[in-house]
Parts: sequence; C-alpha cells; structure tokens
Amino acid sequence: MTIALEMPRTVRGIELASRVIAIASTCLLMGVTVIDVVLRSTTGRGIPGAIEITEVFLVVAAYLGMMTAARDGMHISATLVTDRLPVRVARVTRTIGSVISALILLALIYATSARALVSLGAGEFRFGLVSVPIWPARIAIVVGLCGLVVAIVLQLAQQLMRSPRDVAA
Amino acid sequence: MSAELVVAISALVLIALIVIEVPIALSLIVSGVTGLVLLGELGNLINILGATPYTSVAKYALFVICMYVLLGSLISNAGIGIAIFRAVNRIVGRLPGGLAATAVGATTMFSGISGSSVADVAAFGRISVQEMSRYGYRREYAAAVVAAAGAFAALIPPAIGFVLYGILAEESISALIFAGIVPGVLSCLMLMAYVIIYAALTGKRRGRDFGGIEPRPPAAQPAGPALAPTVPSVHNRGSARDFLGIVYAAVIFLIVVGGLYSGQFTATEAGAVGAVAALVITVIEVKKQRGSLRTVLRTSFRESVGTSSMIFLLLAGGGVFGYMITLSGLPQALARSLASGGLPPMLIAGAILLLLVPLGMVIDGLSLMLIVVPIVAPIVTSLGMDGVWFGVLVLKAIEIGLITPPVGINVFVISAATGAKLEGVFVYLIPFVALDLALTAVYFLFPDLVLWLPALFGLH
Repeated sequence: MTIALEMPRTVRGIELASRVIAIASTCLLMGVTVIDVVLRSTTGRGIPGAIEITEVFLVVAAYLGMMTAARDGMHISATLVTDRLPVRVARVTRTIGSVISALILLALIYATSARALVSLGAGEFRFGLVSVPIWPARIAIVVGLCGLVVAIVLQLAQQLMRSPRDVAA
Repeated sequence: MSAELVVAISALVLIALIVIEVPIALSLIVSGVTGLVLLGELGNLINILGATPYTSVAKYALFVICMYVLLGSLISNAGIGIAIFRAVNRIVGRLPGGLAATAVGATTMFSGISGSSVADVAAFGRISVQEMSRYGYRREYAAAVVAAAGAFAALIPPAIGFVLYGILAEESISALIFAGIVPGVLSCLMLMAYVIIYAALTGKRRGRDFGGIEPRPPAAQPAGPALAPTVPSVHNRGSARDFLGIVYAAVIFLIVVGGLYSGQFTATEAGAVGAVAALVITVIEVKKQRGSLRTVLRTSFRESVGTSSMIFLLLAGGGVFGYMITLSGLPQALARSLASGGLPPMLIAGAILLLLVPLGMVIDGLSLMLIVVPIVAPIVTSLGMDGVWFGVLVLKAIEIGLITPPVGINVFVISAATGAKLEGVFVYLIPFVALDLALTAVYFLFPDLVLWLPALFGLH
C-alpha cells in the first residue's frame, strides 16, 4: 500500500467520519492533558482520571485513523522483490499478499468483535481514579480494522481491474 | 518443537510475507500467529488476537507519539521546518555535500523538538528529501541521509526511548536523558562530518554529482506521493524569518525540556504541551504569512492521524509478534546462557548489545525494549555495570535496527513519505550503519563520554 487509494463516495464518507472522530479524540487528549497540567500547577489538583481517559481515547484515535492511513498510502510494505518480478508474476504475488492481508484482518475483526461484544455486555471499564468505559475503544478497534479491510479489498479490486499493460506502464 | 525452531519458522514466514508486499504490521501479526500455533497456543489464539490490539496501544506512555507527530506536522506545514533547513543551510550549505550536511543538522535540531526518531523522519524527512532532490541528489541518497540522521539524533532529548527504558529498568529518567545529550550531539556531528568529507574526497561537491537530476524549479519536481508542492526552494533569497524558525524550535525545546526538568510535567505530558505550543506558533506564522489557517490545520491533523495510525498498527503487529517471542522464552534463554557462562561482564554487555542489533532488524524498537530490557538490564547491573550507560547503548543499538533491513522502520516511513525506492535507500544506508556501529563501540569502550554530563549535574 504505497500509493494513495481511490475510494467510492460512500467509502470516502465513512473514511471522513472516522477521521473526524480520530481528530476529535486527538484534540480531546491534547486538551485534557494540558488542562490537567495547568490545574495541577495552579491548584495542586489535576483532572481526576486523566490517565484513564487518555488510554481509552488513544485507542479510538489510533484505530479510527487506519482508513485514512490506507487512503493516503501510509501503511508500510516492501516492494523490494515485487518490483523486480515480471509484471504478471508481480500481479499474482501482490494479489496473494492482499488476500493474506484481508484474511488476517478478518480474523482480527472476528476476535476483536467478540471481545467488544463481551466488553459492551459486561460494561467493562478501566479501573483508576475514575471508572472510564472501555467499550468505545473496543468498538473503535473493530470499526478501524473493518475500514482497513475495505481499503485492502478496494485496492485488490483496482489492482485486478487494471490490465497488465497498464501495470507495466 | 524447540523455541529456536519456532522463532526461526516465524521469522521465515515474516520474511516471506514482507517479500510478497503484505504490509509490515500485518506480516508481524501473521508470523506471530504462526509461532503461537507452533507453540501450542491454538486454543488461546482468539483471546490473544482479541486482546492484543487494545493492550498494545492503550498505554499512557504511547500517547506522546500522537502528540509529537502532530507537533511535527504543524511545524512543517507552517513552514517552520523549511525555515530551520534554510538557516542551517546558510551555515553549512556552501561546504561540499552541504545540502546533505544541512539535512543532518536540521533533522538533529528538529529531534530536539519531537522526541521520536520515527516522528522526526515522518514529519521532517519530506522537506529535506524534497530540497535535496530538487538540487540534484538522488532521492534514495537524500532519504538515506535523513533516515540515518533520525536514528543518530535519537539520543537527543526529549527521547521517548529513555522514558520507556527508565520505567522498564527502574533507572533515573533524568539521568538517562542527560546521558544521551553528548553521544547524541557527537553522533550527529560525526554524521555531518562524514557526508561533508565523503563529498569532498569523492569530488562530489554539488548535489547533481551524486547521480541525481539537475536542479530544477519546484514545478518540475518528480511526483512523490506526499511531497508538499508549496514548499519554496531552500536557495531562495534568505530572510530573518529563517532564523525565526530556529527561535521557534528553541522555544518549543525550552517549553518541553524546561518543563520536564523543572518537574512541572511528565515526559508524556510534555508532548501535549509541545503540541499546543506548536499550534499557537502555527496560528501566528500562518496569519503572518496570510496563508489559509484552515488548510494548514486540516492537512496537519489529517497527516498526524494517518501517520499515528500507521505507527500504532505497527505497534499492534509488534505486540502479537513480541508476545510470541516472549512465550517462546528465547530471549530469556539467550540472556541466561550469556550470564551463566563465566564470561567477563564487558563481553556479556557487548554480546547483549550485539544481539539487539539483529533483533532490532526484525522487531520494532518499542516491542524489543518491552521484551528484552526487563531481562537484560538486571543481569548487566548485577554484574556491576552502570545501568544508565547501558541504557544509552541499548537505545543506540535499537536505533541502528531502525535503519537496517528488513524492518528498518525509519526507512519505511521516509520511503512512504517521499516515494524513494526502499532497496535504494537501504544500499545508501550501509556506510551510515557502519558509522553508527563504530560510534556505539566508542561509547561502549569509553563510558565517561556518556556519564560525565549526568555526573556534572549531580544526577548520577
């Protein structure tokens, strides 16, 4: 995934929504931490549960940005060998790589969904000065991984639709 | 099946997946899963896969990554990175290999703001590579110089690695941070001297002598995937604003490091305070330039969210792979056999550090630190060696892994950001890796180089 990815309008909308939440979470983390520092310095007491809030929203920011990273071609892969292969062989190799990527992501989605459902059902929360619910973070993991698998499938489809001549060019 | 065989098979799976272009993070997960199955953890696999994406990311110390990446994006999109680059170029640009030396100097200066080698390369590398390739350097050479500079500057405070090492090994974080200053600055000066001397000795005085393209106007740039098209040339007529870039960098450095040393906030909080400072500076600068603040902020936040997610997916992959390595017991077995062999302590410390270099090639630095430090740090200190000195060397050895294949994360990051060919970058990195190894050997043989500054400040 080294080049920016073309996405259909609906998928772009989902990516935009995920990105906005990820950016909002990043701003929240920044704001909570700075206010905590200022309050601690001035009044001697910070925001209760700042660490717990940070840990949960860090996960939200990290996983909801996955689709943006995929769209902008940021996830790292090595083209060391595939660039040197004949076009058709490289195409088959990349297809196998994309299928493996999608399969492992589906396994991760299955495992994290199960964990998220348990978390949601049990009302799991992070112990600390303040009890912060963890389930939003667990759901964000599933959403982020789903976004990533969609991006990989789209990339695979675009790869297969291009003719070998286009790829060679 | 023996632990050695399990790890060997997993490593082969990892290499095979990387070869067929599976993203590195997912390759780490698949190879980790392979190892776990071979270790008889099939029944527990769903639990591990369900838990690791959360547990490997939900760590308070990791929050600093988001903040430093955001800080870097804001600073570079506000044009402050290019101002630093221009100011340093005014000082060293006329020397042979001057632009390469400028890239090293500017990256070093920037690392004093960001605190993470990967963040330095992610945020600042684009500017350096764009400028160098505009003036005729091969993009791969330019990327190699920046990736190496990021690794060489990793010891300069604020360094995330020292915070983690201090927590894991129960050493003084302040002593570690002070201990990193001299080797960090010395390493960067040596790298700068190397690129200048290399250019002078080989007669490659100008950028185009390195085999790249002729200097060209910005509009004629080859299209990299993420190169900012609006960045003006470093050779444009300079102004006082260039040095204002250095002033801004100094302000952020003083806010972050000053607050850290005064005890006003922790190393992690310093990232958030630094990001807010960068946000304020960005607003001031963009307003002054009558630019579009909305565009700069939108670009910066988009970049920072994408880059952070990419790094966190790598950490999640490293988490699964690291869990498998820990479960295999291989690092522990190796460390124990080193300790029980009746060998001289310096030889054992040296052997551990040498072991870290190849491990750093296949496991990301953070995961490697989480796996190895709790085991090797007590062994080394129990043998009477200095824990702070060893911590600096551990970080140095791990940073060498960041620029060495197959999982040289600095190289992957700069390759993704600039479009430089991965294998070409690795080829150009060979002499830089050799130089880094030689410098590490010097710090190993002369511990006073590392320890005199913390001793001077009464921290050690």
